[in-house]
Amino acid sequence: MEKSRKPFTVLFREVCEMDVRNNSGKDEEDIIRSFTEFEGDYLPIEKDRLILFVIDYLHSKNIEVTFDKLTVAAFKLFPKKFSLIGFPEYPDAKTVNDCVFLHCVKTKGWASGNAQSGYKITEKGRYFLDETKKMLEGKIKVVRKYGTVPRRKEFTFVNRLKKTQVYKKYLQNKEEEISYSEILEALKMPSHSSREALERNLEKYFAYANKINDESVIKFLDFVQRKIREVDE
Amino acid sequence: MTELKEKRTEPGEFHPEWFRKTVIEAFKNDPMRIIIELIKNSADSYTRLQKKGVAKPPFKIFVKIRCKRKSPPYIEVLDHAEGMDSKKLKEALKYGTQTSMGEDIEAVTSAEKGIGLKDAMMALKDNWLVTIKDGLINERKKHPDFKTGFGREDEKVTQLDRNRWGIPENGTVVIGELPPYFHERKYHSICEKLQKHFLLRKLLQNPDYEIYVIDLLNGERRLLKYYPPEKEKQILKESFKINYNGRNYLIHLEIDKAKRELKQGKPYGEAGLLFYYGNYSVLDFTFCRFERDSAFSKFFGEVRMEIGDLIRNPTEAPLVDEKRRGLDTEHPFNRKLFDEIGIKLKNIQEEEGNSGYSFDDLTKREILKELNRMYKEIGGAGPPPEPPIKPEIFEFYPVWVDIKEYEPKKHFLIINSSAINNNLEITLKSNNPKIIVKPATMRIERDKVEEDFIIRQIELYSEEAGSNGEIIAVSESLNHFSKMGVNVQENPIFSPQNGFAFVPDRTTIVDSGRKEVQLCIDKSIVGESKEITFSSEYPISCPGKWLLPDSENLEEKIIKNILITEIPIEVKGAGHIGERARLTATYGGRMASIQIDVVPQPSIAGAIRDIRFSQKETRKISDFTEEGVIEIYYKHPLVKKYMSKKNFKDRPEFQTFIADVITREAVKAFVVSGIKENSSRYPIFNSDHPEPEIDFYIIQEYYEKGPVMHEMFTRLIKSLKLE
Repeated sequence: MEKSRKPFTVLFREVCEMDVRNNSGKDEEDIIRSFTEFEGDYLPIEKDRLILFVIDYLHSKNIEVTFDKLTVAAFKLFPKKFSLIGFPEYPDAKTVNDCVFLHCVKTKGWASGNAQSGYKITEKGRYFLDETKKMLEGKIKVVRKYGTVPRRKEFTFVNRLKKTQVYKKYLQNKEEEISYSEILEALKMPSHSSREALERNLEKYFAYANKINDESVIKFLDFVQRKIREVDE
Repeated sequence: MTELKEKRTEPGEFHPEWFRKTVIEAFKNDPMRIIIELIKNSADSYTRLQKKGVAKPPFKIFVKIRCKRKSPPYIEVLDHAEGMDSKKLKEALKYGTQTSMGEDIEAVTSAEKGIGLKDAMMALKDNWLVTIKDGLINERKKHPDFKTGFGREDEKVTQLDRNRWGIPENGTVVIGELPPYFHERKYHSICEKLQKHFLLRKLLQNPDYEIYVIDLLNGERRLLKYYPPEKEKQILKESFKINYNGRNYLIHLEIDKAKRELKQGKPYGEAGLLFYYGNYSVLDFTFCRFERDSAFSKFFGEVRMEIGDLIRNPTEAPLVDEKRRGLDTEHPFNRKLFDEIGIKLKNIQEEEGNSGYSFDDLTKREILKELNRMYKEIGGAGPPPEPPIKPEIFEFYPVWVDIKEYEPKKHFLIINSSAINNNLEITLKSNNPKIIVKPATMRIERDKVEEDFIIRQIELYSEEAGSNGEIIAVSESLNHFSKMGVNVQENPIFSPQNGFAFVPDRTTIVDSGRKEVQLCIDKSIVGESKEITFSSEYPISCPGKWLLPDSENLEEKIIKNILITEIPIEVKGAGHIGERARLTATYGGRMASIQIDVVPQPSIAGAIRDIRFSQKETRKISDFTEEGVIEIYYKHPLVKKYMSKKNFKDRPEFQTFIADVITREAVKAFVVSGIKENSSRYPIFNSDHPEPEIDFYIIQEYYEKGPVMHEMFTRLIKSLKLE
């Protein structure tokens, strides 16, 4: 089903001009269900900032900012940032909780509250909210790129693989320097591992890389597979 | 009291010119020797008594000094040894006699012949020698024209005389005022110099002799002692023979390595070999052909010479030169001795070649940081760093800042240069007068901007904790504004625990580094006592005491009822990474402590990573290695020439020369590294033969950056030390 996307400015104008009374007839949940994905480039922006934006967005719509509403709203507006690995159609509540409670409330002091009381933006958070809005509008470009993949098992293993010498050599086009033992070490396999075990492990890595959609690692794993076959021959 | 009166004189044997040329010149170079000669005469007299079995140690010699502020001191050198009768006195005060006046009673030609009792006496103004032997007193004086003056001759001594001179039985006292070229005016400095003088070292180490220096003004009495330098290890201990005129003379050589660098050269240096015979008769203090060689500045030792037969031979020339500067290098025996010792020293130099010079680590790190900052400026290490955000016009980054009361803090405004049409003026305002922002206005000229994004610093300051405010940057020409929030937090230095505490109460310090820690004291506990005492655990060192300012100055130093004192601390030596120590301060019954962890030095990044004073033997005087190290080769003849001089490190010519060598090498490194990194500052047109262009850039940079570098490197050279 094709989603109807609106540019940020249109979306925000709608929010500002919205008559609260119009909402009164609708359930808050229904309003959230009607949210569509933000059209601008939100991928480089930090998840904590996006959560701050969502809290403000819900406030502006006169919707009480509870944890569940925040989770679904964040997912509806920024699905690429707040969905589960392998299940892009479901919201990632753990990531939302980490962002809002651990980061925005506890560490950064941008928001106050908790899952029992709901959330509010602090005076300090207002400044960051304004800055985030400028980022979403494109008035400020973010130089640092923030990841989209939540830190789960898939991400952890793929990330470890990326830190190995073999992967670095592969990126530097030094494929001929890569030895079989180095590959085994990178895949966390002992030297006496059976061919089946190796295949099983490699398959797992393929699955993880595919789930988090890391093209570079998928290509590297293709290379590893070729190299293993060459040794067998 | 008996007055000393000259009754008659006898003519001298030498022309006064001889005394002026030889003796005065010798004493002028080392005036302390006047006192030493008299002390040694007394010691020799005791030795003779001991050898005859008449006296037993300890043998006491008294040097009484009356210092005057504007004229040389008056001295008396007294012993209770042999004393002399008129016959012996005549011999003692006459030149050219062959009498056994030294430590060796059978020696007819003293190894040290040349300058002795009579010369020392002549150097003293209004001198008198009073000696009592077997109940008879004799008084003599020596005139500068070699005449001998006579006071009482073989007269019976009275109790009054004994009391006056402090001689209960036999003994001698020499009195007089030291000559104008004796510049010491203080009792303590005379004592110090006597203790350090090489000619007295063996005598002061000998427990049989006790030399007391007495201050006649206040009666202070001090026993002179000599302690050899602390030994790291023994390098050599052996005996060998020198064959001379068909006879073998046994020489005992001992060389040690000290833990620290020693001062070189006579008369007070400690790095060298002490040549002596008998028990204490020192002939010279030298490293033979390695004299003042910096490689030997940690070495010291002794050469005991069994040369009794040589000094008893009346046909032999003295081993010491006429002015008694040291062993006569022309004497064939000494030549052989120096050759033999020279070979051994050469071997030591080769084996112990690892010791070398190094710069003070902290000074070097500061200079390397400064140098690499300069390189970044001129070498152009790539484009300027990318700003964290790229705004459409201008924005604060970050948009919120927490500052501490009384602590200025830097913040940033990032400006997109493409938004500037002509000249841009940004006004900075604070909506809370208790929060100050500087500058109030920022002006940017379009023509002078090269980068895409300009990062400008602003400074925020407040003295009011708990204040909140907003800083707004406005540009009317661009019709744009940016704002940031400011929160002023309480500074922990104003609330020390119990009114007396280190803030913070834990810190880190780099290995072998130094820093200051803040001790905060509440005004209400500052009492009458001005003294804070400190104790620290190893490896941290700190001052033992710290004085608070006087009550008049105290108020000026107090902020918000808190007095903040900065206490210097440092790590003793290196190699303490990971160690933890506690520094405790005590004041008026209160205690405060701080936990200190020793951490490694952060690594130096940049084109130049180290500067070393290397002992490599190369043809070059300096080099810049691939690892980014500037090396100065101190075995290069040109550097050696400067280093052979006394206190070479403090000499401006040495400092200037080495600073220039390092400057040239650093400038060359800058240019070569810059070219490698394709710096736009050093475009090379003829890449096949770039040498003339490189030389041009080196000269250009030398004139531009040279003076600053010279100043930096001179500071570095002053910190040079022997490892």
